[in-house]
Amino acid sequence: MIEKRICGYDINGWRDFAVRNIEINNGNTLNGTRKSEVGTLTGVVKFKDSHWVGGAQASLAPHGCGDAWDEIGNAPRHDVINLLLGKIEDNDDEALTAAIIGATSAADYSIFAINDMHDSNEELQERLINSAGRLKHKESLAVWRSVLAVLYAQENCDKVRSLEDGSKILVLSQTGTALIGQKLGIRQTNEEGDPDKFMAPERCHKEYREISSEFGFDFCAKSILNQTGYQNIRSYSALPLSIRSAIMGIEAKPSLVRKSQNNWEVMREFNEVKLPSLKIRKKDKQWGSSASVAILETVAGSKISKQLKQSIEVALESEVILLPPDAVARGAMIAADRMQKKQTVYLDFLPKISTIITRNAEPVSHELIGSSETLPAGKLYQSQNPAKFEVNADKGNIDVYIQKETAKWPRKINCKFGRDVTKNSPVEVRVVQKPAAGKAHILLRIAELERDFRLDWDKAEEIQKEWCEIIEELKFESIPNRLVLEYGIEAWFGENNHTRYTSLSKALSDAVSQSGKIDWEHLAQKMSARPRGKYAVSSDGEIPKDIDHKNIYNLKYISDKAKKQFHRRLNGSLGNNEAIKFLTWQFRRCDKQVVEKLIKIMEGSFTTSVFDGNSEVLLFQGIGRAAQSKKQEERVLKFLLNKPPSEWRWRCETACAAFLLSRSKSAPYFLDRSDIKVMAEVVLNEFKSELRGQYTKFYYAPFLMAGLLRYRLKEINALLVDVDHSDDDPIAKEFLDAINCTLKDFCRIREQNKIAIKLKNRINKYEKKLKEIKKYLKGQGADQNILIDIYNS
Amino acid sequence: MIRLSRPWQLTVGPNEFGPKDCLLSEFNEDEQVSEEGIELMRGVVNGETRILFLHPYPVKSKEDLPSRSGFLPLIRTSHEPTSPEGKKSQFRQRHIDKVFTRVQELKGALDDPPYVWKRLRSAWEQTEQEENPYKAAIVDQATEMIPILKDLESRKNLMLRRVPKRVPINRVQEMDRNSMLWLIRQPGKNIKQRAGSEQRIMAITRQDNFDTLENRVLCSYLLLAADVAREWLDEQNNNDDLERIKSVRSFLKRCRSFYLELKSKGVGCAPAGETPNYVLMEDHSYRKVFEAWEQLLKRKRIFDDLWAWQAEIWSDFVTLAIVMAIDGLEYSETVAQSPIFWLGEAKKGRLFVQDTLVATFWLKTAPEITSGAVVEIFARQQGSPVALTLVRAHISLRITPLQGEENSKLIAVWAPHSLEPLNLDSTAQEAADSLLRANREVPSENLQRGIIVTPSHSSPEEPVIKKSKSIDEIQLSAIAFDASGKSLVNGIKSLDCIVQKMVLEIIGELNP
Repeated sequence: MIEKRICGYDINGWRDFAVRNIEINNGNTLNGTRKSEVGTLTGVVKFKDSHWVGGAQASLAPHGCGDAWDEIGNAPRHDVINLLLGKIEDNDDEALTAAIIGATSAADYSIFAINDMHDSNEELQERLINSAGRLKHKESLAVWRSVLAVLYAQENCDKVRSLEDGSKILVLSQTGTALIGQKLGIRQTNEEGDPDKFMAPERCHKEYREISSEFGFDFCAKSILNQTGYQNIRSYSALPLSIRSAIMGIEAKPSLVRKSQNNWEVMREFNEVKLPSLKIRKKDKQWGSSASVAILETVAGSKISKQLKQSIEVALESEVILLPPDAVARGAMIAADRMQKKQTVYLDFLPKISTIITRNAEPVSHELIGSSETLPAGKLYQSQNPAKFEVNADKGNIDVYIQKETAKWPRKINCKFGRDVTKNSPVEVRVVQKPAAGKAHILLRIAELERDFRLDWDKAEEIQKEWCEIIEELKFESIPNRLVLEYGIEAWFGENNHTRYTSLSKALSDAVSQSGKIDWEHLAQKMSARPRGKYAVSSDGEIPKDIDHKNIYNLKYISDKAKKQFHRRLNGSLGNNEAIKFLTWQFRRCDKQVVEKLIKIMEGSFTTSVFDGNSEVLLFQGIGRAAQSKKQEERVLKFLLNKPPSEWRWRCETACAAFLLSRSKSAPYFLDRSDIKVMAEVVLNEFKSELRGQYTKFYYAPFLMAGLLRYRLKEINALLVDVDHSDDDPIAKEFLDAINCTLKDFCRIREQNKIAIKLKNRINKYEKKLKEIKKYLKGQGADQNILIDIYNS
Repeated sequence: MIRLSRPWQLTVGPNEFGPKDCLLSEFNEDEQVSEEGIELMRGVVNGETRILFLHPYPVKSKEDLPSRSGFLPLIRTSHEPTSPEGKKSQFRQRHIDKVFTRVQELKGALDDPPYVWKRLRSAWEQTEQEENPYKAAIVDQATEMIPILKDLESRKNLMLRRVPKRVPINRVQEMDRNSMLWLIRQPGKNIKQRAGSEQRIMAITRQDNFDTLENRVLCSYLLLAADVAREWLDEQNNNDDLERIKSVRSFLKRCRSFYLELKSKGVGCAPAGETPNYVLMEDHSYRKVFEAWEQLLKRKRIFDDLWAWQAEIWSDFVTLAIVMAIDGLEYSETVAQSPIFWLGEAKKGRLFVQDTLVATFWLKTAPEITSGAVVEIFARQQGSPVALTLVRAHISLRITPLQGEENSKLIAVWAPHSLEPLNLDSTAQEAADSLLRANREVPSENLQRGIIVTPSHSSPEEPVIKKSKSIDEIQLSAIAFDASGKSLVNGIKSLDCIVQKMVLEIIGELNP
């Protein structure tokens, strides 16, 4: 009976090994450990222009070894594992697969060793595991070299075997570019399936050090190549065997080198690689000496490894255990055996991943993968507490900020849902990842659509800002956007196919050409018209860019006439106030003197009977629309706030304040706490007065309430109800209660048998907006365009 | 185009091939060839590119393009054949199987590429000791599939099927349109009356059903595997001690019992060529079953292919034998070896592909001495030297001295294959003549030696060896042996001697 086939791979490109538990002899498969050294400075070769072959066969192949070998020797027929492992862009996975088959094929469970360095990229892990998948391995895992070295040492060195729970072990690895150190913990596991007192290596956060950059194999290669004529060679693996052996410090026989077709040369021996003495930084030495045992893992032969061991021992002033060159591969085999038996192979940490969520109206960083935990290799990690927030109704996409510990800059990932969500819907972002098994999957789940979206980190936009900077910027998201009413060309020239409709442009030119009395009512109506939701002049006083000079001139001309008409009215001429209406609907484009006059009238410093009775609405609302300088805004607010709350009228003072706060950049800054209190009282009064009523005089109360939220520009945490109610803003609390009462009232109205359709529509409209305001008060992310929504309703 | 009955032939061969001929043609690059065949070698002589072409053996006694007649047809029976032609055909089939198995053994040897030739040699030599039965696909399956069958026995995929059935009223869970209609048609005023004396009504029940596609495929596989295993066992002399026979026998038993179990559960058989479903593609065990089933289904087609391309298999066999002979020399060291890419299954008689430079060896005159010569072994060369193109030898050795000004020397190797044995005497002489002519035409290429390796078709214990009379330094040896038993072991030993002697002689000449 053949056991399950398990295999450990150490494919590093310098000296590859593979160990497996079966032996094939005369076509029969037998049990028994088989170790194979694949070769030194290995490569893969392409032959017959289609097949890639790797492993020992490639080491022996003449392919790519130079022009002396005819056409076979051409360089493109050759690829080096060292380069292959680093390739990310052009995923030549066929070649990588060939390298694995070449080392040894036919495994059910396989473990691949990978360098324990910061730049050991997740793509490589993924590619190795995918290649194993193509080879139909049942289960495979990429494991750090340091861990595998410890696994080997646990079985073969008494000193390591006797280590107790919680002790530390220092693993020194010689890689292509450097000598690196990793300090691993030894921990007793109690996972399901593990035998009693089972010790597993634990890889902890930030225990990696580069000890010296001079002791890599690159250094050895250079020192040997300087003795030969091969200094500038691209691929080490096409070098003659004896050079390759010498680089890796292995005893080598003389070998033949082909110079031309009929000319061969015997390559003699080389001087050994002489390693310089190791200089170790003091803090590294301290860091290293805290471990109970130090082991050295290198694939180099004895000529190099013994020198290395000596110089490390001198530098560290303590004993170092030298492991055999194939220790990592054999450790990989032990790991594969553990994996097959469903035991813990080792414990690993995952690189930290964070996102941003809003808590108490403030954006905060949320860890999807924390830094403290380690978990068994091969086990799937799911975020313990996923990031939860809400996506607003009618939205078809969402931006998610993600920061990875392994990446320099955070990224903004835009996730498109494919369709708009119909109602506010909870969203959950979580991370699913296996340690050292490739990239993390960042998943976003929307309750309404009932599906997961994978957030693609690679395609996301990189934001070159510090994480905290981004959070700081996002703080302003808890404030409703300023109300900006857009301008539109339709108001000027009418909508297409709408012939009966007289446009503003036509009305203006008619008025200019007309010699007699101007029809101000018609003009005012055109100016305040809002086809397709857009006015002729924007609330910031701008007009569309496409408007030609003639129209601009006409507007100015008529506006001057309107101003004259206004003055005439003030001087006692009879008529209506339509000219003023025409002027104030131009928002900030309105003449400054006219606004000044209006404010004076409001303040009572200019007495006139023009704005009596119902016209007062026009006065207050006109000022709300047209006030433009900071000074004017401040004056208006001051006047309003001096009035006792009981005297505020819904269409006059309330409307004016709501307009100002929502439309102006500067108005919220003129307020302070006491002002807020006054306005809050007004709002609450109006909420209360409408309870059990028809909600006909309600419009400006929620508008002002939302406008007050813009006070957060001045005080970021104002008007906020805490989750645990420990630090509530009293006004916010009252607001919240008022909203709740009103919402309850809405329910009551709905339950009535007879209910006017108009009322029903009205409360439906308000309900949505009030819920949105409620979210603002609770500090949950809400629709930032609430002001424009209220205005439009 | 020239038809050739022997590769070295100087004259034009017959228009129609017979069983005594090697099925070879030579033509120019410009000629359009519509006949079936594969290219063995290609070389330029006097500015024209010559291509040596090998045609397949006919499966029937007579076939066209190129016209071949009088051949032994491929007769397949599952029982012992009775007609003399059938017996002969079966005898040949066993021969082919053996050559094929020898080449197949390369795969196992490749497990350790630096020692591939030594491992291959030991595998070949073992055939002498135990007369191991040849390894057919079923032997591999017998070892591979038993754990998988065990796994499937414990967890057969089943499907819940909705079956309409008369169910007691209190057990009814679900009704469909048909059962409603049934209920309406029953006599009675209310449901109790309609349910009749048994108080049962038609309703939907859910029942286990094993008759899924994957189980049908499993069933078909078990049936076929049992048949193939029985056939294979029938062919062996009942030597129960041998591991292979034991394992196939137990596999056969398991297949039969499992098949009966599935039958009793109402599983049908899947027809060949069934499109696999998700389970057959993704479930590990079912996938293995599906693959094994396809392999067995294909075995007949594979055998047709092997029959047609016997000469091709022989040619690969000879190449391996020659490389092994050089590797077997005392102080030989591999310098380079072309990778061997193993094909999943035999295509036109070939199990693997390799570049034309098969291997390069360094032959030292003594272990520590760095003098000696380099031996390169070529097969199926695309731009072969003129002399080799003239004698049409598609396997060759080139020996180059490490020191000295001497040019390299060539040895031509032919692997002629015909359905009837060659007369070695005349063969050796003819080939020697052609060598002589080629050497006179292109003396600079130093082609003076040749080796012919041909099947003997009668498995003699000692190989037949003939040498040509030597004229003008021309040396030629012909050897005939078969690919199994003593014939193989002694054959490769003798071939080793011939090759090694020739190579060492040349080295002696090159390094005086």
